[in-house]
Amino acid sequence: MGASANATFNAVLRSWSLDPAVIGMLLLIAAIYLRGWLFMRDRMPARFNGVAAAFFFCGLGVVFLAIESPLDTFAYFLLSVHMVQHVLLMFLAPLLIWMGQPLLPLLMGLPLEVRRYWLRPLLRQPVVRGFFRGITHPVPAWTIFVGLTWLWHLPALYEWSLESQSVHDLEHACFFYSGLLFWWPVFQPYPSAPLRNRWIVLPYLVLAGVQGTALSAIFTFSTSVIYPSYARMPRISELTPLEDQAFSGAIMWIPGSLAYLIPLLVVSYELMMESAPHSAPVPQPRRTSREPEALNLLQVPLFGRLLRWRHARLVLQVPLLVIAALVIFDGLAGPQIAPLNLAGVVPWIYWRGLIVLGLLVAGNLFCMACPFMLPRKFAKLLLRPRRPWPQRLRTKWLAVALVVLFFWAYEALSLWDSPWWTALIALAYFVFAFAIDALFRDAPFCKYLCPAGQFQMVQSLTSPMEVRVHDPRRCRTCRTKDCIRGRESIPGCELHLFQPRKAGNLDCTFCLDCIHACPYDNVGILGTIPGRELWLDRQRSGVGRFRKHPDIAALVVVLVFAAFANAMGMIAPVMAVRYRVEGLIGSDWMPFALAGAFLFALVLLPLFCVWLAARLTQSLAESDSPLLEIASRFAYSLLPIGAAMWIAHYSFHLFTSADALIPATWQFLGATHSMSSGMASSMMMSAASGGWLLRWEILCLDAGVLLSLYAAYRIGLQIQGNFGRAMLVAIPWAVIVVALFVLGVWILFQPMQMRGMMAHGG
Amino acid sequence: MHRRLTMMIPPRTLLLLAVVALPLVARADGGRLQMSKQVGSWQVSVFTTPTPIRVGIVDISVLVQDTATLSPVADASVTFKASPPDGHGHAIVARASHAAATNQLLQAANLHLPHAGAWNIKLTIQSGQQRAELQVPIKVASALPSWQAMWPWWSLPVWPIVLFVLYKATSNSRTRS
Repeated sequence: MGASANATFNAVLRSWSLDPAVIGMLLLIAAIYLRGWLFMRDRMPARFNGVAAAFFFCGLGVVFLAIESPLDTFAYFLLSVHMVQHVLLMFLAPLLIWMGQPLLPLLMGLPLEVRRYWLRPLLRQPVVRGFFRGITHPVPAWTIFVGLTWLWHLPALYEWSLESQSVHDLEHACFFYSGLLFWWPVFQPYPSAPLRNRWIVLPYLVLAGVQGTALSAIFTFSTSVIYPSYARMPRISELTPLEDQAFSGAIMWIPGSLAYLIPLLVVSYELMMESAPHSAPVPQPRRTSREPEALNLLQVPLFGRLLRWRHARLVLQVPLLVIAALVIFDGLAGPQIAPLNLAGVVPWIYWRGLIVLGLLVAGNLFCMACPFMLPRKFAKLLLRPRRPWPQRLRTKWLAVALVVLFFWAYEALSLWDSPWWTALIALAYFVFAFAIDALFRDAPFCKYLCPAGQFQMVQSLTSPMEVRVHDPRRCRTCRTKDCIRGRESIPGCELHLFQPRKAGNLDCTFCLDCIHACPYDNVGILGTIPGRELWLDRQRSGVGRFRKHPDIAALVVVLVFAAFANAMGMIAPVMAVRYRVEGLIGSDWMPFALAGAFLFALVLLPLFCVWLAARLTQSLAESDSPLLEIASRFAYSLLPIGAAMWIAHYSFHLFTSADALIPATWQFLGATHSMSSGMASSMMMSAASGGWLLRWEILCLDAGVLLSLYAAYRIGLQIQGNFGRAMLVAIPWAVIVVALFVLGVWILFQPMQMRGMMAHGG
Repeated sequence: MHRRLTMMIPPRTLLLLAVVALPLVARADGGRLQMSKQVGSWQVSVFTTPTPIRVGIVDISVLVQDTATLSPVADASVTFKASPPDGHGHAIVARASHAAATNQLLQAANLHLPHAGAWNIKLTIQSGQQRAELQVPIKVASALPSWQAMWPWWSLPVWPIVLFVLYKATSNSRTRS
C-alpha cells in the first residue's frame, strides 16, 4: 500500500506539461527584464536591487508552476488542485511581479527602436492613456477583479472551461491579468503616480476580502457538487467530490484572506507612520550611458572567448572541411542511393536546415565556418595574386546568373537524389574557390560569385546580429584603420568593409578579421533589429546605396522567388504536372522544360511583378525618380517573406528527416542495409501531420509577411513622408508580399516529397 | 534620467507592458471523459482529445485504478483496437504507454482515425493474471480542411496589421486636427 502510494506520488510529480512555447515566452520575458534591470540597477541601485529581481523571477516561476506543473495536469481531476492554481495566478504571481518593480526594466529591456517607434507613440495616445488611467483606478480595478472572479466561477462558464482548452486558457488569462490590475493600486509600482488618497486602499482590501469570503463560503458549505464534471471524474484521492469542493473553498478562503490581510496591515502601518514608499528620493545614476548595451556575442562566456581567439575560425572550418571531404568521397565512391550516402543527406537535409536556423538566430554563421575559405587561403599564400577582379564583373549579376543556374540544376539534375552530382558540385566549389582567389586579390569568389555565400549574405539582412562597432566615436580618433588594413599578421577585411561606415550584413562573411585586428576592441557581433537595413538606404562601405545597385536588388528578388519555386518543385500537385509533362515530351527534354520553368519563375515573373509594382508606385507617388531606382529600393521589402519561406521549408526537411544521417553513416562505415534502391525518394509527407511543425512554419511566414509589409511601409515613408501617402505607394509591393504569403501557406499544406529520406518498413 | 523616462511614458500606461507580456496558455492531456466503468476489480476511465473528435490523430488516454484502493494500476498493459464504422477498412491497434501521456497516472496512445463515423474502441487491459476488456463507442466527425483547422495561425498577421493601421490613422488625424 505504502509502495503504491509512493508510486502514485512519484507519477504525479512527473506529470509536467513543459510546453516549449510557454517556456520560451517566459524565458524571453525574463531576458527582457534582466536586460532592463541591469541598466536600471546602475542608475537606481536602491530601487532596482537584487531583491526586486528575485521577486520578479519568482513571480515568473509561480506562473510557470501554475500552468506547467502537475497542478495544471490534475486540475481537471480535483477542484481543490484547480483552486490552488487560481490562487497562484490571482494572488501570488501578481504580488511577486509587482514587487519586482517590472515597469521600467521591461521597458528598458526592449530594443530602442521598438520603444521609440512603437511603444512611445502608442502609449502617448490620449485614448490609451485615458483607458489605463481609468482601469487602474481603485474602483474599476476592484470591480473588474471581483466581477471576473465571480463570472468565471459560474457553473456554466466553469464547465465550459473544463471542456475547452482555449476557454480554459482565457480563464487563466483573465485571473492573472485582473490580478495584476487589482494589486496595482495597492503596490503602486514605480514609476506610477501615487493615489491622491492612499486610505482608499483599506476599504479596497477589506471589501475584496469580504467578497472572497462569501465566494469561498459557497464552496465550503454547499451541500451539492457545483461543477458536475468533478462528480463524473474518476476519483484519484480519498476525497469525495463534495469534500474536494469544500477543501477548494478552504483554499480560496485561507490563502485568499491572507493575501488581502497582510497588505492591509502593511498599508495601514505605512499610513499611520505617514510614510509613502513612492516618495522616496531618487538615487543619482552611476553611469551616463543612455541605453542598455546591445547583446554582444563576444561577451557570452566561453563562446565569446573562443570567437576572440585569432584562430577561432579555423576551429570551425576544419571540422566542416573534414565533413565536406567525407561527403565528396562518399558521393563519388559510395552507393548512388541518396538516403544511404552522405552526399545525399548531409548537404540537402542538415546543411540547408542548419544554415537557415543559424541565420534566424545569429547571422551568417556558415560563411564564418566556410570550408571553401581554406583552399582560398592556401591559394593566396601560395600564389599571392595581385590582379584585381575585372571592373565590369564587380556587380552581383554573375551571382544572379549562378543562383538561377544552381536552382535549375537542382531540379534538372535531381541533385538531391544524386550523390555523384552533389559531390562533383562540392568539389567544383573547392576548385573554383582556389582558382579564382589564386588569380585575383580581395576575395572576389565570396563577394561576386559563391551562390551559397550570396544566399547567406542576402538573408542575413534580416538576422538579429551583425558585425559592427560599439562606439562610432572611438573610430573617429583612429588613424591606423586596422579593421580594413589589418595589423601585424592579422589581415583586415578582405571584402573592403570599413567598420565605421559598414551597415548591415551584406557582403559580410563574419570572418572576424576586423574584430581581431581592431586594437581598441571596438568591434563586436552585436544585436540589431531584424530587417532594419532593408528600409535604411544609407551609404554603406563596400556596397554604396542600395537604390544605386539594381544588381543587388535583382539578387534579392531572385532569391525571394526561388524560395517559393524551390518549395513548389517538391509538392505533390506540381510534381504531378511535372510527371505529365515528362510523359508528353520525354525525359531527355525535361531539363529544357525545367530551364523554361525556372526562367519564368525566377526571372520573367519577378521582373514583371517588380516592374509593375515600381510603375504603380511611381505613378502613385507622382515621383520623378527613375523606375529602376524605385524598384531597387522597394525590392528589399520582399526579402523577409522570402527568408521566412526558406526557413519554413528547410527546417521542415531538417526536423522531419533528422535521423536520416544514421543509415547513411552506417553505410559509410561499412555496415549493410537492406534498403532497395528506388524506394527512397518517393516518400511524401505533409507538415499537417506534424502539428507543431506546421505551426512553426506558418509562424515563420506570419513573421515574414509582417516584416515585409512593415519594410514596404517604411520605405514608402522615406519617399513620401506621411502615413497615408506611404501606405499608398507601398500597396503594389504589399500585394506581391501578400500573394507570396498565400502561396507559401498553400505550399505548406501540400504533401511534400521527402527527399533524401528512406521509407521505413521496407 | 528617471524624469525623462517617466515623461516619455506615462506611468499608468506602462501597465500595457504587463498586460501583453505573459503567456497563460497551458496544455494538459486527458481531455473529455468518454467512459468510466468498473470492469472486474478495476475502475477504468477513458479520455479522448481533441473535442470534438475528428478524422485524424486522436489521443486516447486511460486511467486504470484498483476499485478498492483507488490507486492506479501502474503495471497494467493497455492495448487499443479501433474498429472503423460499418467495417470499412482495417482495425487500428496501438499500445498505450505512460510516456505518451502528460499525466503520468494515465496511459495514452495516438490513433490515426481515417474515416468519420461511429468507431468502436476496444480496450484490452492486462495486469499479471488479470485481464479485462472494455468497449468504448466514439463518434468521429469529418476533418476540417487543414487551412480551416489552422486558421488561427495563418490569420495572425491580420490583427497587428489592423491595429497598426488604426493606430497610425488615428494618430495622424489627431496630429492634423
